[in-house]
Amino acid sequence: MRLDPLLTERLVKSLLWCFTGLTIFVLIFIITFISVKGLPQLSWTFLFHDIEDMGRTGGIFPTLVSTLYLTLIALLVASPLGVGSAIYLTEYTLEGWVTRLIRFGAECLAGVPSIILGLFGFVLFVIKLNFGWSMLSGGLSLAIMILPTIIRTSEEALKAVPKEYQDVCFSLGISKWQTITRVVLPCALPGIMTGIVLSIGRSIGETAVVLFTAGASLRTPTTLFDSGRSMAVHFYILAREGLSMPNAYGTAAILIISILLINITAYTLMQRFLQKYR
Amino acid sequence: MLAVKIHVRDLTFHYGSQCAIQGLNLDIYQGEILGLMGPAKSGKTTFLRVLNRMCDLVPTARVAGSVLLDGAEILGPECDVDGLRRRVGMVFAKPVPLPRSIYENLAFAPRLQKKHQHRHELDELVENSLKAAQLWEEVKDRLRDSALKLSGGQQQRLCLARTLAMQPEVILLDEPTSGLDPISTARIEETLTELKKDFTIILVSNNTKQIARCSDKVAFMLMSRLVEYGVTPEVFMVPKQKETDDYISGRFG
Repeated sequence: MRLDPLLTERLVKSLLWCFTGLTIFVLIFIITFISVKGLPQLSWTFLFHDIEDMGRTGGIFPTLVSTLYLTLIALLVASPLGVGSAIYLTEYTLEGWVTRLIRFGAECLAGVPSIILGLFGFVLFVIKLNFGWSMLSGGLSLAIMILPTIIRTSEEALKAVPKEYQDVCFSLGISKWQTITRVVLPCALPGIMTGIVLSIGRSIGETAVVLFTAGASLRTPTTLFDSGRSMAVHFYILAREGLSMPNAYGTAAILIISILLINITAYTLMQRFLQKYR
Repeated sequence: MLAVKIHVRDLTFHYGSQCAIQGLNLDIYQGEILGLMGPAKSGKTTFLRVLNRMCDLVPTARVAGSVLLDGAEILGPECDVDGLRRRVGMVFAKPVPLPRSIYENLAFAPRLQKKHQHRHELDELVENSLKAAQLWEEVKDRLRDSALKLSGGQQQRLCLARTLAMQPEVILLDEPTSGLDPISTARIEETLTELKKDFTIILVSNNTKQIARCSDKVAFMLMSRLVEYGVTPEVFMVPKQKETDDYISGRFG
């Protein structure tokens, strides 16, 4: 039996609408749930005070600093490495078994569970290199975690730049490196930035890796070799040990808000940048 | 007697195992327009891309023979390729403005060369190049606008102006009007005739009438070989080869 095409069209449309609606609903539900539970906790004291009594009272200031620290280290290490590798893969090698192998490796790295990356970071940075539980160990482990994402998204962004631009630049006697820095990278920047913003989100929210490598000290980290707990780790410990659910939700709310803010800022900057170049 | 600008001897070019140019001998004279015509896949574009070493970009390319520009070999490894490309400019079939302003499209390459550091020098260069490409009047009030907003014909003249801003000696044009309307085409042709005083121009075109209108000498390529070469009116009136006659009169190609 064949359905009337018009009816099929309607059915499919409403079905797809339901799928989309469900996805959005889950997102909205999570955000509302966390907000309702967490936002009432927020106050200046909560944001800018030290952790007291294992997190039952006091604020979460040290976790904000740790999170910022870890994410910055991860970004500063992984962005140049990732974008550099992507430039190498797209501009300086021919597509062949070597590039396929490198790409396959990057994809495998992306698939490694974060708890295993955490263990690896622990063995390499904390023990072997003797960095201890520290911002440095945590940041470097996070860098390894986000590297594949940055490579992949940068590569796609670079590939999407029209080849003609390069032909034009070469025909004008512009060297390869100048072409890449002056023309190709600016064109690919929105895509590269998307990858980096995604990575920031992942770094901020990552728990397992950081728990293994940066420790869970309650103090505010100052040097690279200080231990400290990130927001996500703090949330995990508060909830897991049943120390204070309200404070856990408060931390979660701050986590979500900061990721939201970073996304919004990044995309606004991107829009400005695009207007300059289009 | 005009001076020989480019001297091509026994040029053979392969993409992998496929031959694109077979034993080409040709002299190109200073201050003339050489029209290069032939059906698709006859090796015209490849020939242009050899002259500014854009052929290097194809990894499987193999080239043999000799091309002298002002007596100096350009095919050898000792040739400064970026320097060569500044002397031998190229305009592509499809106009590709860079995603920048009109002004920046022209000033971009000269600025990187460090020859023109001062603002007023660059301004002057941009203005002169746009005037030479007959685009100045249309864009002089909006040099800071994106080049992508120009029409197709304007974009192609912008590309020509961009090449002129490099102050090259030779200009290679690869079917520069293939995507343009007749009015834009006429303007480009007019510009070329104006430009040949100062430059050596090689014009590749599928449009035999265009070649007949613009060029001083004409070369006809077929199946990777140079079939006929001569002064334009002679080739079009009394072609020596049967293939040329067939091509001009549209019996094949």
